[in-house]
Amino acid sequence: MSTPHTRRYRQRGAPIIHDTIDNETIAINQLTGAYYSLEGASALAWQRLEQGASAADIGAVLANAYEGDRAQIDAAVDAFLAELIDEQLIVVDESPATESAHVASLPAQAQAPFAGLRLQRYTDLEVMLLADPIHEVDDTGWPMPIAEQRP
Amino acid sequence: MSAARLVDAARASFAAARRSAASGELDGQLAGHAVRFEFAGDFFAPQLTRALAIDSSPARQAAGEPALTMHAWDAGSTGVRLDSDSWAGLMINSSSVIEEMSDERYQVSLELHGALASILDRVTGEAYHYVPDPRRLPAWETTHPARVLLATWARDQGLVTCHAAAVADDDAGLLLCGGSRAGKSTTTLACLAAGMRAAGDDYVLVEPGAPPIVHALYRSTLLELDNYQRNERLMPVVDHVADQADRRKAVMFADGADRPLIAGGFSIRGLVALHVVRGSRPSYRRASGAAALRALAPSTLSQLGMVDAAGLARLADLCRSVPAFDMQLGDDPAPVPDLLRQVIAEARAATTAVAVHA
Repeated sequence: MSTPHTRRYRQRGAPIIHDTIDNETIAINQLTGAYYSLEGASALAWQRLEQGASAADIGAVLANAYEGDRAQIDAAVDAFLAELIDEQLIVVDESPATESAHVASLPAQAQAPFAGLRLQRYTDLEVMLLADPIHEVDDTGWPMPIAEQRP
Repeated sequence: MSAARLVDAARASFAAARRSAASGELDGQLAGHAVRFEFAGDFFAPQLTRALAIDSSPARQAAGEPALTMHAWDAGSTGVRLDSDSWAGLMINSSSVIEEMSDERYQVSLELHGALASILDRVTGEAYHYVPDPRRLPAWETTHPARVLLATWARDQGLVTCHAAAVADDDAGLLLCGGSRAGKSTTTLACLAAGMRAAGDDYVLVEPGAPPIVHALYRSTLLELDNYQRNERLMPVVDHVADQADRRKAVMFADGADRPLIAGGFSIRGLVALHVVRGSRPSYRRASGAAALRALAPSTLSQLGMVDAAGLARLADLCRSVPAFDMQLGDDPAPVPDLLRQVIAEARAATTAVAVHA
């Protein structure tokens, strides 16, 4: 049985779309209109979640890429994953694990100081993106404008 | 009702509308592609002819088989409705598209609670644009009509529609990105007043490449009324004042004498994310491609009905292809054109340096 630290997560896929430029990921929730920015270590953690990874996997990758206390990194990863789950950007991954071996084989990198993980959320487009069913129609079946809809 | 049956119904309804009311046609080119517009009734002909950046010069009219043939009519002036089954219960997705009626070939969209319906056959380029009652259309549909339909058609032609302005000094230009109230329109009009070129102040078509080429989509330019009153010289003619929700905007269609020219065909050398900071002086700095994507993608995708991975990837590719800058706009637009000329020079130098290094 997996503990929370070894439980694997992966990016949710649709309705979440994302792209990465210059070590910054932009992710958009197609249903809610919320969009997100993940920079630096946060973008790296997000990329590890593409194929599925546990908190331990991500902690190992970040410890390899950044200089910092491992316990501090692991705590940041746990909080970051909780935030990604709250925002419905990731889900539990039930597929067989393959990441740990890959993480173990990563070469050591030039290390910058670990400055934490951050999910920046923007909500200014939420109203524009919400989906909507056609509730009311006139006698010919054509949608009625809101002002004319029956109470 | 399937999309194919809806197209048949729209074809028959449009033919009936042409028989019952005045009709007209417009042939020309949009972003270098032959297009044809057929109208029934007296609403769409002046609206689309005035707002769309169609090059209808004689040389452009004889440009071969059209890649898009749009049939536009309204029930108000023709008395002919789109003959379709009930739309009750259909789900309109976040891009205004009715997924149950759309597939790889057809896109059916219904905007503004039924104020506007569009059908596009992506294989043949046959399109239908129908409005039951023009009085229900918001002002932006008059200044920037058929956005969702045209953005999908443009995508099929390999073009990227951007919620952005585009200005240039000679043949080298910039894409000016930012959501509502970022300063795109004021900056565009300031650049035109300073002798620069512009391909649009709100939506433009970009042809990917090295460098990308920008084309005009609309001829309309808009300034918030209080902004216009502070900067009247930027808009030499006001065609009307549009009410947009809680905002009022002065509208000028840039076509004809005494008006600046909106025309594309120039290269994009850089992307600029605009921000208004009241009380400050204009300034700029280099920025990451991600900053440009953040300024460009969310509003572009949501307003043009392309909130999907492919749409985001196209915008990301554009942001990777040229240098990005962040520009802070102050209260006075007068210094901005010269700053943008500096940005163009810097972007060209950066691109040249990369090419030499490669």
